[in-house]
Amino acid sequence: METQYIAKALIILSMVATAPAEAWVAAKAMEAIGRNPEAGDSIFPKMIVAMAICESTAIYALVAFFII
Amino acid sequence: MQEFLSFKRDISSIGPSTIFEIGGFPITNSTLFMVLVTILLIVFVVVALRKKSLIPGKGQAFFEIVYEAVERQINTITASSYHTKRVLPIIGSIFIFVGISNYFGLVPGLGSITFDGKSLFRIATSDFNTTLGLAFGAIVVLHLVSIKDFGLWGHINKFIPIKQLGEDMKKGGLAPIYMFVTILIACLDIVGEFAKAVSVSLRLFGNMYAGDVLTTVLIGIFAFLLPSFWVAFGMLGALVQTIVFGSLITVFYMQAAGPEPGEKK
Repeated sequence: METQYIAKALIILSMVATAPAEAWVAAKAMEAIGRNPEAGDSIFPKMIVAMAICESTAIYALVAFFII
Repeated sequence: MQEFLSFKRDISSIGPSTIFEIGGFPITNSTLFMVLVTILLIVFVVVALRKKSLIPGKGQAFFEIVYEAVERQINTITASSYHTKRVLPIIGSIFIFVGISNYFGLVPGLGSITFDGKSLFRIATSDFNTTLGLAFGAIVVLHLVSIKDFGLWGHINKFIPIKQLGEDMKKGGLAPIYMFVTILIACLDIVGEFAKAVSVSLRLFGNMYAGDVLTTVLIGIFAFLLPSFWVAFGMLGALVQTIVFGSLITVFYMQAAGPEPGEKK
């Protein structure tokens, strides 16, 4: 039972890098929109897709968290 | 006091529960939910679009807004009206089905309708079988599109460059090493096709199931006011996950599809 909790804690650790990665994507997208506001409509969906891909590691970790 | 402020509920299981079986084929609660959503959609569409007019009524205007939003979303990725028109029927349906399923997760009391101790409806997108089925079906369709555009031979060559391997075979020197690397990359590409479907479906499933579990946990901590913030965030999350699922399928379509006819290669 205790090893299960250790495994869950380790899985949560794997989510650490996701937040900086997503923040970086968002920051770069905001910079680009700030530089060229007309391109905002075309940048925004691409930003969402890129963020989703960054997020996938965390989602796998989350699924593993629930399965264990 | 603690009992008054919190509401304990079992965390829903990661898999769906079987309600009954038809000839050995299990009908789960997410299947029932999908049938419910499909019937509701068909009825809604038929009623709203009973009489079409140039100046739309309320129902027609709603569907025109939805259609235009989906079309605009697909068009920002494909950036060509030909590809948008071609891919809209399937990806638009995925958008609408996933979107409605996600938003049904916010309907209160839907999980409380129970039959034989099991809840009768489970949000279809918080069941991995549904999302994997959707993603896998979409990937199969994209392969068919690729076969139609490039021909069967061209489609196989996209993964295993047989033509290039044949040319390499005639060369001497370091050519065997290049061939070995090419074959390894081909294997990776084939695995990658399956990984695409799995990653897209896991993303949608993980988000929706986590939303479900987190609601349960929050209600268990403090049942008043606190979950409402999470539900408000869930409305955003449902929309974002719909857009992400549809957009990623569109991106895969753009990788699979050939150039527009009339456009120079």
